Amino acid sequence: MDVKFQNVSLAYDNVNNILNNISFTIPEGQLTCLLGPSGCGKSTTLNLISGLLSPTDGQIFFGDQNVTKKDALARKVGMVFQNYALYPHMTVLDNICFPMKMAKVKKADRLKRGRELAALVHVETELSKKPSELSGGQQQRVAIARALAKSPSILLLDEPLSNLDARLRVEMREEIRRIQKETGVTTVFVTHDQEEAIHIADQIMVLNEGKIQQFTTPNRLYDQPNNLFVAKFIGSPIINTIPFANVRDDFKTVVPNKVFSDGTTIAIRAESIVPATDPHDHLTLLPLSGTQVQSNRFGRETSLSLNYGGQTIVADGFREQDLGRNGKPLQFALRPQGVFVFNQSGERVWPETITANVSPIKPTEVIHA
Amino acid sequence: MTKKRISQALLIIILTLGAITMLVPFIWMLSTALKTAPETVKVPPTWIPKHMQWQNFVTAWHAAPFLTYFINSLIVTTVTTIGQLFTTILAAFAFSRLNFYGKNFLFALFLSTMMVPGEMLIIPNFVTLSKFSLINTYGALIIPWLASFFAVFTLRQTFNAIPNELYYAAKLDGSSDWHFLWTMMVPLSKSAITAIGILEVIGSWNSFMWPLIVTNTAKVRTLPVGLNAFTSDAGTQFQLLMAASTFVILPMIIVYLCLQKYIIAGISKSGLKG
Repeated sequence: MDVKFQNVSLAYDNVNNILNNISFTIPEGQLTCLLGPSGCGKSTTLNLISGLLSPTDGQIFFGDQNVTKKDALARKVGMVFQNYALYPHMTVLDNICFPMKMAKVKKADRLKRGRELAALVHVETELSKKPSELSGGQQQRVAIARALAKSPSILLLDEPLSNLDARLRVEMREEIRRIQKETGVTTVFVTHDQEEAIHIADQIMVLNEGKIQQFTTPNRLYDQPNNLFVAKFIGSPIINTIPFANVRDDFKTVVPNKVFSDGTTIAIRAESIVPATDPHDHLTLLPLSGTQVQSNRFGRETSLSLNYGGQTIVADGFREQDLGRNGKPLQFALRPQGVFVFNQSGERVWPETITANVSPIKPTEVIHA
Repeated sequence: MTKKRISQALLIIILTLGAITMLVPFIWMLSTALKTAPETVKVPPTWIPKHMQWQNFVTAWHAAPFLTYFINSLIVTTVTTIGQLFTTILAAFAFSRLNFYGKNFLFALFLSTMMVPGEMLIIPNFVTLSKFSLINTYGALIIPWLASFFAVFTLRQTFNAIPNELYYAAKLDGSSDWHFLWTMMVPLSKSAITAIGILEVIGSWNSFMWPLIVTNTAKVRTLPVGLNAFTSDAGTQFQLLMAASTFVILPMIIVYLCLQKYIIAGISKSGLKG
């Protein structure tokens, strides 16, 4: 079922706007990420979907049905909490079957379905254990199975991976993706980790200060950030930003006059900075020059710090043989993709529209933090 | 290594001294219970009686209707404890999870009642009960003790430690507040509830002052009041009093020994002493 928010606001004590008049539609059968820094309103949005919170203003629809006034139970959502919230005194099977027990499903039926769900999430050998006897990943799996037990209209996951270690996080990320595809349930996933969001989501809603910054596919978010916040939030290493005034003469022939005068910040992705000898298309006709500050190699990655326009920027498109000496001038070029100009209020003013034939940079090239 | 051993030894000595201090009254009670009347008041006192007077226990048991007292104590303690646990669980849940108008004010008000000494309540409670014609009934022994804010406070702390997500998860799964309380909160707070229960059992069983005041016939009297039978104008028969005391506290010692781990867990968890 798709989820539609119409002009939804939430304020505590009528003063603090947690969410400010937001509208969006989460498409059916897909995995949507709510992404943003802590306090941006993403968990609040999730709780509004679940019905644990009620909006101060606006309407919420599940499909055609207005659920604004309905409570959490009536909305039939399944939810996985950050700390899993498994019932500590019940076995794994009882945990999974609990929602069906509450819904008065016959014992034989619910045990059968409970076992099926356990098999789906691969915990079928742990059925008689208590949650405390399980590893973090297994607890997570049980929590997902329990959330799926009532055949929810929507599955909500609130930062489900943040209590897991790095390796397990990647594994569970794939698992959640698989389970979502297998069941086809509309899923909303809250995270503050942009890399996690990019890997798992069909589309991502970036939130900040209670407002939607951008809502689109992961690649489009990376390739065409609407504003400086999104550009900085998505991608690792963080996008380089330079005051446009310091370097705009280098781009005089590239950007229109209006951008030349209005632009305040230029943002450049680390992988878009390449050696001047790079054979591919370059953004500017002439190579740019900066000063090499430092270079480091980390396994397959080379990280180069450059001084350009009075800022130290990071480039990872260099190979060892392209590097000069620290403290010496270094010529470099920019690829046409991954360079954006933003105005005073942070909106992207250039490129205005990004045409589809610009080969998108795959997010898999993003350096894993 | 030696330093560690010395501190270990010191620790054991201190603990042993503490344990002996705690045990002395009990040993004295047992010792006196087995003495003859003259020996109980002998100076210097003897720790081990010259001739063990085992028949003291039989004499003491027959000196008063102890069977009735025992049954009364059992009824009063059971009903008080179950009733108090029930009100405690409901009140603790309300203060811990529900939002209602005046909750904080009510909580502060209840908390302030803990500062009123129990003795202050004797007269108003007595007057109230006598107006309801409840003096000399089980009601007088039970009703004033059906709620204890100390217990509510302790349990509320335990309930507060249960994560909110569990409550939300259960709500989403279709559990009502009532159902959540009894199938989640209560089983999860088993040790705290057991501790509160045991403390109440001990308190109720040993209670002396209140039953003495509100009862005036053997029919409803409890064991501790029964011990008064050995004190008269002519003096106290210490050996019989101590023999009776021994069988009065014996059930409590058994309860304590069986359940001590819960008492300790409950007290250390709540961060309060009983």
